[in-house]
Amino acid sequence: MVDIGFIVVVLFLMIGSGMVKWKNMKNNSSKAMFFTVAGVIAVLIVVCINRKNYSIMNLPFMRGMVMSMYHLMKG
Amino acid sequence: MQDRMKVSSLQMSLLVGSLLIASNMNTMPTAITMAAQQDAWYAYLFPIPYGIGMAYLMWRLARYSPEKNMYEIMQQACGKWIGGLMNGILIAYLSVDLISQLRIYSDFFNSSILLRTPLIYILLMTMLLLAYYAGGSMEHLFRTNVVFITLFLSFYMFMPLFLLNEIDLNKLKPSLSSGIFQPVKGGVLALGSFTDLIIFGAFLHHVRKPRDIYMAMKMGVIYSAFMLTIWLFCVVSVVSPILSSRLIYIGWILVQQIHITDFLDRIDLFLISLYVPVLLIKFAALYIAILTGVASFTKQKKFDFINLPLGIVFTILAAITFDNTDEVSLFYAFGIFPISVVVQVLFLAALFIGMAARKKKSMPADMGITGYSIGVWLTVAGAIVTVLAGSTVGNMHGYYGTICASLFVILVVLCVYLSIRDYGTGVRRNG
Repeated sequence: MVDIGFIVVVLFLMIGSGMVKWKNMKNNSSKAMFFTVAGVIAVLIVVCINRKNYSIMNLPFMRGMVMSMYHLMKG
Repeated sequence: MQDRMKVSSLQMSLLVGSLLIASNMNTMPTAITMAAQQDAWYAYLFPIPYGIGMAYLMWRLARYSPEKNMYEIMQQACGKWIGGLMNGILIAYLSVDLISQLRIYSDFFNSSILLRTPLIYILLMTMLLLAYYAGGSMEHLFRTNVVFITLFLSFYMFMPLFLLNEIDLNKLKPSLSSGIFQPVKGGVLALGSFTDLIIFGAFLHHVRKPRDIYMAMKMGVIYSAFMLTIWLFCVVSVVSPILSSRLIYIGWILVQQIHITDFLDRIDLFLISLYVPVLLIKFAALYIAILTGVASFTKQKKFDFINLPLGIVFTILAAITFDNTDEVSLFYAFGIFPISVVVQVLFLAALFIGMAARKKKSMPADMGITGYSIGVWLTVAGAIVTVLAGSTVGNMHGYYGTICASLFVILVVLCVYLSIRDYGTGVRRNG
């Protein structure tokens, strides 16, 4: 799903965005939010490199809700 | 950046069209025809009362705090912690909505138009465009929308004419003969596709006068429902209800059925070039609504520093959150409705209870304007009664269903006319 090209582009965009917007992050809450999102991206990329899909439909509650609605509408 | 630029009620109304029409044209008809079969084209009547109700709630919010958006009003009404939690829930819901729609869009492009392009690349390019729009003023989005939605509406309104040689009215029969539940089931699914309307709460600070948002959303919801009714009429009468309930990208199949002349045989390419910008405007509006919510957690109330990183998160999530096209289509058609109901009831109940607890002493007096809104309500109620009555007696004689279908068309056209007239009256009185 995610290859080295995508990771390079994302790194480029993140570093560029951080450099350009650093002066706009005037308080700690803004900086904390930026680095939290950067961390989330890193985790997601690791997940994607493992080539595993973590489908929302694999959640039993979600699948149950969607499929029961489907059967209700179909029936 | 969160700007405070004001937009006109017409711009607001046209954004409602972008929000509701384009995203429900491609995959939603599949689910609606599966649920309602040949009665699918009545489905978009049922979300109209919901849409007008949401417009009324937005008007009340704008009247309560004229210069604030829904997230700020929530924090003001429910406090920092409960308000923040409710805002977080709404942002999570909008994110799931955006991610599923982005995935549907990129899967469609990946399987129908850009066959050799990687899915993640389509997602990233789309997200960069959304980040670009979010980086500018909201007025840019509204102005771009005015150009594209006007062209889009003017071409798509003539779809029945383009498809005149393909329409077979026998495919709509037996009309309203399968009982009351069939059109209601279609209506429930259609209602789920109108729940995006809540994002207008994020744009309340752009409204000039509180009443503007009510007038704009009311007209927008009614003409959007009308356009989608025309679209579903074409889907059912051209492709047939059985086949359309088995094809995922039925909207794309439908425009490919236009065979006017040899020269205009590929008019579908022209129509899709109008469809895509309108769809992207919808995604941009949804994305800006999410960013505005995220910005409400910071002291600066700005989101420019988080714009691109959050876009990348959505890109990756859209790629990994669903295994395949079938899964995301099922989720969007059948999963969004229950999630929306729970989230919106929870959010709006908390908001209005909080507002009632901290009632303000003075609010802008803009209650006076009424126009002819009773006509709109009468036609909507009449159309709903016609469909329900038709489905009760439609199985007795074929022509009962045909008469009710004809009455439905007359009432819906009248409703659109009256809503536009109401809007005109409202704009003239408001100045």
